[in-house]
Amino acid sequence: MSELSGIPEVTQLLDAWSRGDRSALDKVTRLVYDELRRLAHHYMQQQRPDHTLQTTALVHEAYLKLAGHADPNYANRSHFLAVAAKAMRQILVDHAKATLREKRGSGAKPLELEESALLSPEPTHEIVELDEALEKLAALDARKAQVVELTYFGGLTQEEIAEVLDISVVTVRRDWTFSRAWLYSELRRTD
Amino acid sequence: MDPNRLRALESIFHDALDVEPQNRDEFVRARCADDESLRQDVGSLLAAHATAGEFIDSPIAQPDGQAFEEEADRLIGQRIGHWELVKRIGSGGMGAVYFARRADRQFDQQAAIKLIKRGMDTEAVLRRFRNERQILAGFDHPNIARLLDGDTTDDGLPYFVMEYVEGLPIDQYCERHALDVTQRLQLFRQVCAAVSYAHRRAVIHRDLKTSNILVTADGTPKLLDFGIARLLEAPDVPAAPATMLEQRVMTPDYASPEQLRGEPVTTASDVYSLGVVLYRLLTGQPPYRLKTRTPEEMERTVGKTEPRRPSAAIDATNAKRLRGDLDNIVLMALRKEPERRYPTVEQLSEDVRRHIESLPVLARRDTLAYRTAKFVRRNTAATIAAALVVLSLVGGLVAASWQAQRARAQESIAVAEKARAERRFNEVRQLAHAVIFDYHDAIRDLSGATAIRARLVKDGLAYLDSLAGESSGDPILQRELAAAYDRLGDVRGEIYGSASTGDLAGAIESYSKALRIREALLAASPGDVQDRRDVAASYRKLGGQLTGTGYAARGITYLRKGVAVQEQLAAEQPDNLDIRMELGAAYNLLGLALEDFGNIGGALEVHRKALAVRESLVAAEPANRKFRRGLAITLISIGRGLAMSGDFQGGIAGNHQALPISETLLAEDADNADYRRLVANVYQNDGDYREMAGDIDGALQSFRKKLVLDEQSLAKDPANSVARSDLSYTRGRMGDLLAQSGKYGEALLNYRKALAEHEKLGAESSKNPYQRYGVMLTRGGIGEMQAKLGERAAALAEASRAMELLAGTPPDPASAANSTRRAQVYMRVAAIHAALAESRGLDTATQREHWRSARDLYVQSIAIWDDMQKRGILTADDAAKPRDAARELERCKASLQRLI
Repeated sequence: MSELSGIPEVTQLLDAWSRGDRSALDKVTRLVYDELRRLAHHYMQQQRPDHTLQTTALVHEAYLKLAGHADPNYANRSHFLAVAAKAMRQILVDHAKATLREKRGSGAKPLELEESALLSPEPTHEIVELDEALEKLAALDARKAQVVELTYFGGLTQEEIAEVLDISVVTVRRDWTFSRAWLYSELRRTD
Repeated sequence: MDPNRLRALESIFHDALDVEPQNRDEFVRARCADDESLRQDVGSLLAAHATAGEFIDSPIAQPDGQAFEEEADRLIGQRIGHWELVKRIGSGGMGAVYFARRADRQFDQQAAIKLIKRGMDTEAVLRRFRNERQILAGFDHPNIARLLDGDTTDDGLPYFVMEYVEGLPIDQYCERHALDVTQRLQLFRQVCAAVSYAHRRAVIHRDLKTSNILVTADGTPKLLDFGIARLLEAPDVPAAPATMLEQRVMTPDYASPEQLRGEPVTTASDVYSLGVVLYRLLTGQPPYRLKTRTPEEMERTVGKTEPRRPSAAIDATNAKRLRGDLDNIVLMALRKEPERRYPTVEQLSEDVRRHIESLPVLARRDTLAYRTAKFVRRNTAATIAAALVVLSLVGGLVAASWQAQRARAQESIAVAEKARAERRFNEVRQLAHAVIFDYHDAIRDLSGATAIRARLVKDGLAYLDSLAGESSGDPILQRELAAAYDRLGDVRGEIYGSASTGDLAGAIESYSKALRIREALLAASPGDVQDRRDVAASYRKLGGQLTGTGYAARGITYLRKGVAVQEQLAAEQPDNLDIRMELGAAYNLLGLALEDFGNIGGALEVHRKALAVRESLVAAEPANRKFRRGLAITLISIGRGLAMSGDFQGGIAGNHQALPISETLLAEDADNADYRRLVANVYQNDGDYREMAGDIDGALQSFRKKLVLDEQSLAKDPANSVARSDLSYTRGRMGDLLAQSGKYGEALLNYRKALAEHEKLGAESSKNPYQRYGVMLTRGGIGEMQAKLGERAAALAEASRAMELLAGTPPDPASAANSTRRAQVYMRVAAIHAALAESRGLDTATQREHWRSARDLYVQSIAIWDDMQKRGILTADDAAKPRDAARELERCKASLQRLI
């Protein structure tokens, strides 16, 4: 990986991924995931306690850290955001599951400080349910699930999503409208 | 589901969204052909789409995120509409604010542009903006930053253009200039004046906070963002289960308890937020220390705990100045219950003035009585515990009596013991009965006790129920049980009536249970007269409740069943006058329900049947006053039916027949307030029908007769609030009629007298919307007369006051009675402006201004009428009003055309 010294690892991985190397994606996700957790921890020590941490801000900062200003390729930024969305989803869902386990008293590991920094006011079980419904949707239509992931967990705009997924903005919009209704109906059905 | 099916589903779903909503069902059915399950899936997707509200609409965490910041910064130097964004001057929950200049340089104008972030419902925001732009753009007050324009950027983000204000947030300004307490209070009063100005135009700020109040270098406070919060507020999404990312536009530290609960926002919410602002100006601190920002915690802290007194929040040397008056003023503004705060911002400001001038202030610490009542309310658990002490007595007895019941069956038990067991059983029954009926009645008037009462009745009922289970063969006990369910239904239904948050379904459920028990009893002994009468009584209760709460169709079904049972009973026992009386009551209720439903012909038919029954009752017992009263009421109803179907002369004649009967009743029992009210009612109807028939003088004479009776009633019982509101109504109607005959001075006098009675009733600060509407209409009348008489300033003041009251009264679009009054208030105030526009000696600009105000108000009233028409709740007697409003609107437009 380091044969191109001076270029951040994440940029190389993102390039590799955009050329079709699927394994690069896993590596990027791991990198991003770790960086996000590290940043969250950092924030918790610095910020005023009443300041709610914003995941989007985190994601952008993680990108600056990992890819830095050295990356001239704007498309990489979108790809990075896509990866971050996945990582963010993973962190939040894991956190929600841990909270639920803890509530049930099954002796899960205690919450780590930096993870609780990512705590959003959403009831945890709803995040877990959404995650499950999203998996179901992915089995039927992977792209639609991805549009939701990028919008909801990644905070990407429709234009950015269109670029990441290489589809038109109109398609993003249609996918979103349909998926949102589908998920809503799915969650309500399982209530 | 497989991917192919999902694709089919998706394609139909998108196509259906392009079809008009009312044609969607048909469209989907056609597209799905025979595939019923596909049709259902599409249907539930469309339903989900319609009800999903803001579900996952905004990213899980995004507000003030860097993405927006970046996007926001990218816009600097760009043009939006006619404006060039020069620099960013702030950002907040809703978006970013820029300093902007006219890009076309035609004018050297500067402005602040507020760009709304992505994720807000752009279309809804703009729709609301278009609806309210006239009002907001018309704001002209030195302490309010004007809203100039609004639109969307090419990227589809909504933005608002506002007057640019250069200044410091009010709290920082006070600190920077080291203002003393009095100076701070004077500044605060200017803020109040601005909020009051908006309230008089029915606009509520909803997001008052120190950062929204800037003070300029010359010391003028300016309020920002008036009306913006309302534009951004998400529309109410009924029954949206997902609370994910629910967004309300408000700032938690300044939001009132009702805002945090998501309840309707009124002017009282602004009073509360101003209280928080004042708290901050005096202490530099927020009234509550919120540890976390979860909605639950905020609601609990702000909704349930008491704020620290301002004087207790600062050091001892400065505390002295705040102790007493200022503590009381701030805490009164911060009260949990909107109706216990200052009724208006103006009164808050007045109290501050009184304090500055060392006059006694109106704000008082909570009284002991109030605190006790509050204790009952807040500590429902404790009070219920007390009630449960009584119930536990019952419980102990129940356990003993169960054993006794079993024992009863054992032959070996001594006769004495058996007697004791039965006595026990009856004791439980009596106690349960006492809990349901007597204990309940004892606390009926304790405010806030409704929930406890429902609980009492329910618990008592549970014991009765278990007793009944033990002795299911005991019909007397079963009847008692049914009566208890009726009572529970009454309590629940009453909750519904008084607070509109109540348990309509619960009341109907209880009445239904009573009905089922009675039906079972009847099935066990078919033909039993008492059981049949009870069943019919249940039909009446259910029917009445359903009709009274807007389910007239279902209600009428039950009422018809009740009539059928009573008719048969009456046929079987023609000599039983009680049964015949019940039949009359059943007809009467059915007739009223049909009237409510708009079936006047059907109502008349039923009332005529009631007439025959009630005439026969009077013939059988001419001295029975109850029978004569019933007959008078039926005659009145027939008159009303005729008048409502357009036969005014028939209405007058029919109604008139009730007069000798009611007058005789009153003559026989001159102190009876009910009979006096009956006579007064006949005169009132007479006046109404004469007015409809165009005989204004005759109508006026009838109301004059009613006035004498109303004044007698009140003289005999000055504490009777019903009599007082009757009197104010009569004065108001006399005002209307005199105005129609052009006697403006006399009309004004009567309106003023009506207002005086309203004031004695405390109607302006009443929770009851109808009392408030009464005041608004009366003030509107006063203003119109003043306008006609050339008292321009006074007329404008009344118009303002009426609008201010309207802003503080939440609408209830589902209620015809509420909506029709709202629309009428708009029309009344519009009439003031129209009259002013026509008054002599005005310059053209002022004339135009009045025509515009009148036009806008007529538009608002027409919007309500249209909505009522769409909902099918516009009743016959209001049918002409939308046309009146439309005609007046045309007149305004024509006059405006002429003046250009």
